[in-house]
Amino acid sequence: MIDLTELLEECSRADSPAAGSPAAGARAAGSRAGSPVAGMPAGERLAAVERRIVRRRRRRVAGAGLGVGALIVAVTAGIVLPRGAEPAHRSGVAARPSAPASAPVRAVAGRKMGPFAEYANGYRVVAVASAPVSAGRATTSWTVGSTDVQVFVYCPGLPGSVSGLYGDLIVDGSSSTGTGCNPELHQDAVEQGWPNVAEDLTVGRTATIGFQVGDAQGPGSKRVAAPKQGTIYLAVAERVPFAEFPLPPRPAVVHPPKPDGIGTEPGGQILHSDAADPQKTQTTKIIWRYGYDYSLAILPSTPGIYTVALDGIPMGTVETYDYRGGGKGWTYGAGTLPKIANGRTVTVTFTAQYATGPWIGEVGSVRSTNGHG
Amino acid sequence: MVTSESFAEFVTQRSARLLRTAYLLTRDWAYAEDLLQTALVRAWSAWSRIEADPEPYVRRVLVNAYSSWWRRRWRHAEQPVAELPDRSATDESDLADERRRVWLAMGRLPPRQRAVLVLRYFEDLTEAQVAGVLGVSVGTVKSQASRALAKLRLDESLTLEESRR
Repeated sequence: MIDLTELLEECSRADSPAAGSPAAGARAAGSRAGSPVAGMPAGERLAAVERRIVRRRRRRVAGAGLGVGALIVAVTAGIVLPRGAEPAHRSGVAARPSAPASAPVRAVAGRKMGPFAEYANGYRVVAVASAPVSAGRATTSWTVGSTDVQVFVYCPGLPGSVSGLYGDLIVDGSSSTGTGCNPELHQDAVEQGWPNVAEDLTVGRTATIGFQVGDAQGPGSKRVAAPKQGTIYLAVAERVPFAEFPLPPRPAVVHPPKPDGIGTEPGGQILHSDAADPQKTQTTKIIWRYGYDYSLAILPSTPGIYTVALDGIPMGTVETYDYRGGGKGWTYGAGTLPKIANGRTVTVTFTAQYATGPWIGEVGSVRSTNGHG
Repeated sequence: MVTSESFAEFVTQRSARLLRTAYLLTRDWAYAEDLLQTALVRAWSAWSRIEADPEPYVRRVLVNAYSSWWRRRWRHAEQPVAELPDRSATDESDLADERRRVWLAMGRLPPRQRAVLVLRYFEDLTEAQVAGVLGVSVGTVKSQASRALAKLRLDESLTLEESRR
């Protein structure tokens, strides 16, 4: 007989054999992945959280300085702003240029840069490197066109007893952040970017980045010496403006998205895109009541930049670069947005820049259970 | 220091459990750490307005952040199930195999169903509390839990003690 509670307790212990692969540390930007399996020490976590808070404050100040005061409310609520509305780079260290400063390269969908797709998830790979694991490090250089970067590491060919490597990213000779490298190729963009790397970059200058092998994760999540087998692949990718991003061919049939539950709950609303003009804005009105949690979701079916706003204040954005669907949702306690008064009628606006097919926006509300709504 | 003492104390003393919750949701320690930090940063924005125990609030923020994350990934990247390291054979190998099967099957659940199970069975929340965290009705929690357990081929009556129901 399986006790699910016991199973979850066991599997969520860091020393459990079920404890996950190490190298997804590559996706934990800004975290010291020297200890991703067990989680970082609490003090280190607090320091990391404080760094993120400081960066958010910088963004807020930048937004206010540009007269985008409304954005402050959105940032206070923990919202990722649409690219076009973001006044400064996520890390707060440099403005994002409209395009990479390097020589123009014709955008080609599907092209590979080593094992990596040149274009993926709004980013373009601008530098790659590879080296045997036995060499201890893979290094590459590039002319920085944007500090909005993603870093990918991929280590195929490791011995079966090793599920991944731990190491450090070295930017211009200095350790920037810990990360991991595993045998699974991925190019998922980390929403927060790689602030520790970005802080070491200057647009227009040449930067050198390397993955320095540390040790490895062996059986039972134990730290073991790094093996000699395997290959390190390292890539740096920079943000590409949507209009310049090469999209895949449109499929013969684009399936409309299905509501995922928020809008179909009692009191929920579902807004469908205009069949003749998918880029047409859709709006509805809701009564904003403290004591309730409000959920918003956008489910697209075609590439585009989709945004939802409350009374003109951007609340969330979905950027989609393919036809596979997906989407994104957000929930807020009404009381956590102090600039919206209790009882006020609020206009919810969904915009769909570049959309070429059906999408839906969802609005839902549920009474808050812990008094923080 | 940019944070209040109470916030620092919370992160220092309480975040380990939340990290485990994040891991059960994401099944990846690095994602879990990132998710937890994201939730803590968002919670900080509302810290001064939290009057009671902040953990339920942070947990809700964490689950909502996870929700945003999986919505972005669900159709093309939601394949977090890695093969577990082989264990040496023991007298309890059958049970170990069964537990392994359930753990792997949990990784194949739709994210919302997985969240329901984690909140209900790991966090030990009531159905109403789970509904509050996820922003859905109690009926939805019941149906999602039922479907999830069916997929795990687990009987709810065998997995929950009476006192917890």
